[in-house]
Amino acid sequence: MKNPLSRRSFLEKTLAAGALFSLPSLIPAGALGKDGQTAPSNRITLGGIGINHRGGYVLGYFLKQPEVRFLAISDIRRDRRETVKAIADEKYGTKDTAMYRDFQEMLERKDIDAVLIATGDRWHTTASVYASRAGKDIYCEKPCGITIDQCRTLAETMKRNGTIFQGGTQRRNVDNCRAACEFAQSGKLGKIHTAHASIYYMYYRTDWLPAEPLPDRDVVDWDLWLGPAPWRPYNSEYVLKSRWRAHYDFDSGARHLDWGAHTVDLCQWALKKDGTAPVYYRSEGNRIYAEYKDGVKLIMRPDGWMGLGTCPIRLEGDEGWLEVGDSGNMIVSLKSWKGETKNILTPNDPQNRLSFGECPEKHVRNFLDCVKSRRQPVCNADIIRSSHVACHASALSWILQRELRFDPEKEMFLGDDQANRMRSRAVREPWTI
Amino acid sequence: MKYASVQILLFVLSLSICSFLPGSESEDQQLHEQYLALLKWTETGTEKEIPEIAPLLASEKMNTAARTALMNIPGEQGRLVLRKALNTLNGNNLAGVIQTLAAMNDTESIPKIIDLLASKDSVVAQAACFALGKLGSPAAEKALLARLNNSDQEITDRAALALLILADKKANPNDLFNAILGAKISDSVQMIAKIRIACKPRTVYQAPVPESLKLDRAKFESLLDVLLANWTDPKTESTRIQADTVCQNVLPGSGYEQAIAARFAKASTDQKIFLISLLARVGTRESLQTMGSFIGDPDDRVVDAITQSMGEWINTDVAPYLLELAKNHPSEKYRSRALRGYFRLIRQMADTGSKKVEMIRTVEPLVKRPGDRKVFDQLCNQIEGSRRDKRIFDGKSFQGWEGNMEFFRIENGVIVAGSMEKEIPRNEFLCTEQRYTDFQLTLECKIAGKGSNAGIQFRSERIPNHHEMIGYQADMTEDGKYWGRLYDESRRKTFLYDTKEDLIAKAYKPNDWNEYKILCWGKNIKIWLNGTLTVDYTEKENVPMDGVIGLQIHKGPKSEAFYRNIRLEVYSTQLK
Repeated sequence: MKNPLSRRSFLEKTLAAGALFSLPSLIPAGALGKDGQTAPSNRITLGGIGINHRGGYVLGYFLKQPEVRFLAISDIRRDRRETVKAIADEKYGTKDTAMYRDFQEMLERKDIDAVLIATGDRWHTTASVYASRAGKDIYCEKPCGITIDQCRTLAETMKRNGTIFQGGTQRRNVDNCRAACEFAQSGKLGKIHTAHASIYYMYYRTDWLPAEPLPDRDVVDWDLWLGPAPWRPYNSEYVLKSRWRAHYDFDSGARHLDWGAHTVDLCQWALKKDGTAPVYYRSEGNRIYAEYKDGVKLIMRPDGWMGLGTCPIRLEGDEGWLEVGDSGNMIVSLKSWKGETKNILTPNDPQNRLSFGECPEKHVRNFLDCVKSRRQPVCNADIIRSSHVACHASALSWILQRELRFDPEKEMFLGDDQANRMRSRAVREPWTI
Repeated sequence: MKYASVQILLFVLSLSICSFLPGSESEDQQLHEQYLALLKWTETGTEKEIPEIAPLLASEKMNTAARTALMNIPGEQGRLVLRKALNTLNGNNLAGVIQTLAAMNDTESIPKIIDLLASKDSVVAQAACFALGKLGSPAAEKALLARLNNSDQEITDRAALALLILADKKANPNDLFNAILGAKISDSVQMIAKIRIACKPRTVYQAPVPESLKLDRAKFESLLDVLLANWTDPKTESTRIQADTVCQNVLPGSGYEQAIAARFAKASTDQKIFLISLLARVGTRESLQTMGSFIGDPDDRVVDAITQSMGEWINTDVAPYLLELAKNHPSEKYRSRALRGYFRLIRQMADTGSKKVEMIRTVEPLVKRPGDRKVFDQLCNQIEGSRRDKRIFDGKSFQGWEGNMEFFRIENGVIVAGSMEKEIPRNEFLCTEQRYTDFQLTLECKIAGKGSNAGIQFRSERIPNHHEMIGYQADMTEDGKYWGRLYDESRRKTFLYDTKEDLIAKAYKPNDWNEYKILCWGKNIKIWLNGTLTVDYTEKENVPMDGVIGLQIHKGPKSEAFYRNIRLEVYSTQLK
C-alpha cells in the first residue's frame, strides 16, 4: 500500500496548490518521529556516484543531516565501493548499504530520492542527465560541465525535468564569502568596477600516459571510468591516483575551473551578474583579463593575493575594496578610512562559524531543504551555467593565447571560428545526453 | 650545422628500430597521433581533412574524437559523412553518429533515424529516441508517439522523455502532454512530465519568451505579413511592438531566409531596413547571400543598412563579401566601410599568423585612403609587432633559459654565444626551459669571426647526456651563404627546403643585425630573413611537432654569435 505521506504525494500537493510544502492536517503520531527516528515520509534517501576524496568529505556532511539515509554507492573501483559501504554501514549500524559497479543500476531503484555525484569532471554532466531522467534530485560537484555546450545541456535538462540540482560551488553558502558578496552588493564599496578571482596556474596536456594491462572489470572498470570521454589506453594513475588533472579530455578549461568555478561564481554573484558573462577576454601570462558589457572588469590570476587562504576574491569599488579568502578573514578598506584597512571578519567570530571555504555543510542543508520545498537551491543549474560559461570562455582565451569577444546570450564567440569549435565535443557512445 | 658522429647515428637508428617493434606500444602511439590530429582538426581543420576523418568513425577507439572533429568543421561535408555512416555502422559507433547528427540539428537524417528507432540494439534505439526528441519534426513526433505504449517499460519511458524534449519547441504542446500522461509511463517519468506541464519555465539566463510567442515558420510568415500590412511610418507603438515580436521569433539559423527575401521587393525603405535586421539575426550563410543580392537597391539607405550589417557580421562567412565590396562598390563610403569590416575580421579572426598574414596581403592593395592606411598599419603592428609578442629573453638574465655558461653571456641586453678568446671545442646550445608547439619566433641575430657558424634550433630536443640537439635549425654562417635556410640538426642532417642562393644574397645583411622570423603552425614551417620569405616547408614525416628553442654556437674557431629582441607569439603551449 502506498504510504500516504510519501515524498511523491508531497509533490502532488505542491503542484495542485501551487504552494509551498505543508503538512496535511491529520498525521499519525508515529509518522512524526516521536520515537526519535526521522519519520520515513520526511526521509530523503541518497545514493552516491564516484565518491572518493572530495565526495567522501561532502558525504560526511550529508550523513550528519537527520533526514538523510544513504542507501547505496556506485563506483567503478571496487575498493571505493567497499570503503564507502563500510562508512555508511557503520553510521547506521547495518550491513545493507548496497554496492553497484554501474550507477545505472542504482538509478533504477525507486527507493532512492537523490544522488551525490563526485566523479571526475568528465562525468558530471552525463551522470546528472541520467540521474535527472530517472527522477532523482542531484548534488553534483563542480565543475558541472566540461565544455560550454555541456553546461547548456545540463541547465536545459534540469529545467525540463524539474530536477532539484545543486552544483558544488558551496562558497555561496560559506559565511565569510557570503558576507563579502553581500557587503559588495549593499553598495558600501560604491559602484564595483573590478572583481578579482583567484585561479590556479593553468595548463593542459594532450599526451597519453603509457598503456598498462587492463584490470579486471570488477576491480576497476576502465570503460565506465572513461564514460563519455574519448577512448585512450588504460593507466592506473588516472584512476587510482586521480591523476586525470590537466588532461584535456578529463579536466575543465586547462585547470581554470578547479578554482575558477568557485571564485568567478562568487564574483558574478557580488557583481549581480548571474545569468551573463564577460564579453571580452584577454590572457597575459598566467592572468586573464575580462570585461563585461557595461565595462566592469573581471581579473583572474594565480598570484598577487594578500595571503588570506585558498580561493580568494577581491572586489574593488569607487568607495573602497575588500578581499576575502578561505582562512575565514575579510579585509576591507574604505576611502573614508583614508588608507586604513580593517579585518572585519576573523575565523573566530561567532557569525563566522562556518567560514572554512571548503565546508559544504550549509550548502548541503540548502539542497535538502529544496528537495523538500521544490524551490531552486542557491547554486542551481542556471547559475552554474553562467558562472561556468564565464570560466570556460576565459580558459579559451588562455588556451588560444588571443583576445576573444563573446556574446553571453548566444554563448558564441564573435569572429573566432576556432574558439567556437571548442565549445562542444562529441559524447562517447553508448552515453546519450 | 652538419655533424657526423657514431653516437648520434646509433641513437637515431635505435629510434627508428623502436617504431618497427610489434605490439601495442606503437599501435597506441599511432592512435595517439590520430587523436592529436583530430583535436587539431576540431579546432582549425577544413573540409580537406574530412576524407581522412571519415573512416575513423568505424573505429571504436577513435569514433568519439572523430565525431567531435566532424561536428565542428564548418561546411556540409561533415554532415554528409555522418549521414552516410548511418547506413554502414552499427553498435556503439552508430549510436554515437546518431547522437552527433542530433547535436548538429541535422533534420535530413530524421527518416533514417526513425528507422533505427526499432533497432534490436538497445544502445542504438536509445540514441535514436533522444535524437528524434532533439530534432523534433512532425514525423519524429509521430514515430515517438508510436513507441509510447510499448510493452517494454524502458522503451515507453524513453519515448516519453524524448517527447518532453520535443515539446520544448512546440507552440502548443498540450496534446502531446496529454498523450504522455495517458501512456503507461513509470512513476518517475510521470512526475517529470507533471512538473514540466505545471511549472512555468524558470529562466535566469534569457528573458523568457512566453509560450504563446513561440511560433513555427508558417505562423511567422503570417505574422510578418500582418506587420508589413499594418506598418506605419513613422512607427507607432503598435508597429514597434509587433516588430519586436516578429524579431523575437527569428532564431539564428532558422531557415526564414526565403520568407524574408520574398517580401523584400514589395517592401518600403523602412520595411526593407527591418527585413535586413531580421536577416542579420538569422545569421546564416544563406541570409548573407540574400542580403548580398539586394546590394544593388537604388535606395541608399538600404545599401547603408546592408553594408552596416555586413561590417558587423558575427563570423568570417562575410569575408568574401566584404572583399568584393571593398574592391568594386562604386561608392567610396561603402568601399571604405567594407574595408574596415574586413580589418575587424582580421583582428578578431580565429586563424593563426600565417592565415592572417595572407589576409593582410590580400587586402593591402585596396588600402588607399590615408585614414584606412593608418588603421591598416596598426593592424600590421598588432599581428607582426611586439605588442602581442612575449619577450622570452628579458635582456638582463638567463631566466627561462639553460646552457653552458662558459660560452654564453649577456652584454647590453644581447645574448653573446661563443668566445673570441679561445676556440669552441664543441657545439653549445642555450635552450628555453619551456616547450612550444605552434608559434612565431622573431629575433635579431649577428655573427662574427672568420669561419663561424651558429643557428636557431626550434621544435628541438637536447640529446640526453649529450651536448648535441635534435631538431629544426635556422642556419647562420659567417660567409652569409646559409642564412635563411632550414637545416635538420642531428636528425636527417640535410637542408629541408631548397632556398635559392640569389634570394639569400639579396636578403642577408653582412656584418649587421639580421631579423629572423620563424613561424611554425602544424606541419608547416615558414622562415623570413629580413622580411623575405626564404622557407615554406611542409613536413611529411613523423617528427615531433613540439620542443624547445635553442641558440647555437658551433664548434670551431674563435667566433661569436649575437642574439637580441627575442619575441615569441605562442599559438598553443603544452607543458609536460
